[in-house]
Amino acid sequence: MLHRFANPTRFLRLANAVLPWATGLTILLIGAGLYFAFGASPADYQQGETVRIMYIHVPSAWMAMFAYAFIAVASAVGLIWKHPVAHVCALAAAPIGACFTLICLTTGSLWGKPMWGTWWVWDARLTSVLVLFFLYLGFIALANAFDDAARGEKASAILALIGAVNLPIIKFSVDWWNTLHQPASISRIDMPAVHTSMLIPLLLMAVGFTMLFTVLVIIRARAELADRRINALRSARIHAETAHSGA
Amino acid sequence: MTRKRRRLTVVFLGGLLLATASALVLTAFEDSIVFFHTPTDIATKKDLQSDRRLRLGGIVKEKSWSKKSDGLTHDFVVTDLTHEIRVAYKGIIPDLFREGQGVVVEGRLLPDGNFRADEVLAKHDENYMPKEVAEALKKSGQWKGGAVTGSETGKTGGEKPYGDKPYGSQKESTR
Amino acid sequence: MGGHGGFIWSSWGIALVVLTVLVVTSIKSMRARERELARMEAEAPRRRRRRDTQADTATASEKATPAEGNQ
Repeated sequence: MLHRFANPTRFLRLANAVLPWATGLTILLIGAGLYFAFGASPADYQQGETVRIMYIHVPSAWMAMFAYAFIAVASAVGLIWKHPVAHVCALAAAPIGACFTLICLTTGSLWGKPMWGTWWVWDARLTSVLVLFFLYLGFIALANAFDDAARGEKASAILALIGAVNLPIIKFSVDWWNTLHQPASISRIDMPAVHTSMLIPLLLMAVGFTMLFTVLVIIRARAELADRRINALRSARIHAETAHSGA
Repeated sequence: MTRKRRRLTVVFLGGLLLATASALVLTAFEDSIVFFHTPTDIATKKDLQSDRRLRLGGIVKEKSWSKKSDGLTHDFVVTDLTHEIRVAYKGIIPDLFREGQGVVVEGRLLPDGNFRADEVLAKHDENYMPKEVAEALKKSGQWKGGAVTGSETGKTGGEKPYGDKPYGSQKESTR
Repeated sequence: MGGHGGFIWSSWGIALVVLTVLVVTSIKSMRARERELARMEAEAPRRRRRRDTQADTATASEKATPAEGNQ
């Protein structure tokens, strides 16, 4: 099953078939999410209107973690099975995840100031998310640090796998240690601690962001694949020219 | 064993090793990872009973908050429903500071057992709902949150006053 | 916005700016690279086709079995 998409041509065909649908869904879902986030959802009983930061902060946080999990899985597949598309996908997802993490951190800070009374604290949740941001930057830097692309792939994939240990730490930090950040609101399906009227914009934005992630991964993977072909053609051409002049 | 198989094993074992190592490190540094200490921690752990700076967290006890006429000098009791500590603070408190709500204060423990804080942070719970719903819940007696109605719900409710556990009993919670 | 409008709007503003920059740069770089690739392929179609299978392992042609190809 996985082997089918490991082939770049087949991957591109599938990706291009998915792209218009994912784009449409992104616009639709985020549009609806915005409508509910600002128009059709009530103020919170404690936080008042400030709760509207949640609809951007929480989906971004989920995406920050989802994107990293995606990169870790892709890196493992790339390392173990040497699928050529796996690392292309990981590399495509890294800047997207970094952007979502950045949004999560800044909106969290802007939410913390009026509610908690501070922009930032070094509690386990906030610190582990900051570490996630640096892992993204490290992954991107390492992937581009080598002249030999294959070595960059390998090194960054190993970093991605090592960094994956941070994901459960982020998720459970609020349960394992005392933190200023409150525990998860939506950890159980039977009784989420968020009222339905607020759950609607939250979930719309979350699914919308997942679609946006899909769209961006496809676009960036296409760019990366094109880039690799360009490099391969260039080196083939130089090779042919030197061989020609040598003969 | 094929090369593919070997790589799979290496990645798997590496992951296992890494997870074990991280778990050990995190357990060892548990005391410095916690953001605040509960009144029970302070009452039971001798090394916390010094005059060095520390953070104290818990719930602001109902009807314990008094404010001097200058509007800046506050006095309240932080409780984890087992132990409680009286806190004195001079400064501006955050919007979300309420009786029955979570709070984290930073400062020093005084020799008389009271706490002098120079920073107060409000900790909010994970419940989000419109005002009308909160009021309806309170009216019908189904209120589960720790806020407003009373801190005693934390002990008995079982159903999330602050997360799945009340302050101070975090370690006992099974998960 | 309950006195905290500044915090709410700047949160959404920052998110909008970050995501817009990400989307625009992603699309631009994809277009630029695909255009460059098309140009190169149009420039030397004969040579490309001949070199394709041997030089370009990263984007191997459809016939190759990718998983075993690089072992």
